[in-house]
Amino acid sequence: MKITQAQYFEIEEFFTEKCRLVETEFIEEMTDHFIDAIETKLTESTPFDAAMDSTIEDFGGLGAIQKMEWQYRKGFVKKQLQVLWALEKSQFSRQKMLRSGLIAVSLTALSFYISIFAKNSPDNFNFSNGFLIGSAALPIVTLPVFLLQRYVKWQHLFGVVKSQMVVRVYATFLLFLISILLFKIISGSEFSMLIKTFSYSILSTAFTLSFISIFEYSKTFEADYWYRTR
Amino acid sequence: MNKNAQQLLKGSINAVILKLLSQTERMYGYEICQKVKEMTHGELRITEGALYPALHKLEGEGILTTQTEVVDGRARKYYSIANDQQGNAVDRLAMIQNFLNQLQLILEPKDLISIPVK
Repeated sequence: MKITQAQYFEIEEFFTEKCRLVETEFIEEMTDHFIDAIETKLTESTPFDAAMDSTIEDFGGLGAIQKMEWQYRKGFVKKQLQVLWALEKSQFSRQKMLRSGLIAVSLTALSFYISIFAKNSPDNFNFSNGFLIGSAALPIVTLPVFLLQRYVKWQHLFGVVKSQMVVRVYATFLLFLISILLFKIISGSEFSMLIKTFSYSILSTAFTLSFISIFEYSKTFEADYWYRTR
Repeated sequence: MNKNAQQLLKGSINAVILKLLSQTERMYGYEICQKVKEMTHGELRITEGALYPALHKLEGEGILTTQTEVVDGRARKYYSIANDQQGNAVDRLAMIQNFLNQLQLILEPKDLISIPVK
């Protein structure tokens, strides 16, 4: 016996409003399971509410479902990091080789131009320090929002933070952090100008390709969430 | 259902999942629960609270791959053993089978019967 549209919304509301789950894929999987289980019980002449309660009980209650979302996130984040790494490697694949090559050539030319015509100035360091501190704000804000959204009700007014966003924010921040640190190490080294310039071009190429990978990841996995958070 | 049997099943859940998926091309969560119930004539039942974390863990480890399809207007997530992990799954199953054989050697029914009653 099929459930009605209103019953479907009741199930969905249970996950989003009562359990306060936020991971779309997990909610969809749970909803599918609940519908199957409830429909089976309805065919045995069990009323909807009793079927719903009994299915929640099968899962071990509301708290157990919330715990399951955390366990889901562990596997999900692991998978997302693998995807991100695969995208990174794909920048050297045949389809993307031309674009990556053009980026490398352009950045090498730019590095030489800067080395010859626009020598490093202390402003560069101030700018990179400022940028790093500024970009650190996002991961610092994201994590508590992500962790507390289930408990702080008003946060939902502004939307929800899903695992994909946490992966993107932290991957971007780490990329900035590593790049700026390497940039500083190269700048402070005793290498000749030629070696330094080549190092800058390799570093900036790696940074750009990694940033493109993160953008491609976001486009694929965050789709709607890039602009919309609810 | 016997609670002890339930505990034992919980410990062997990965083996059950891999075995079922090695026999079928792909399955979804509810289907796995029902299949176990059907195969054991209702004697054993995988709890949802144990099944999904195990599925997600295996997925995170790359042993299982997933495919989402729209069925009856809603998304359904199917699990299958990853192509490059078929060998790994067979190895895991063989390891568990070997463990069960060893366990059976220790827990021979005749030995259990001969436990002195105080």
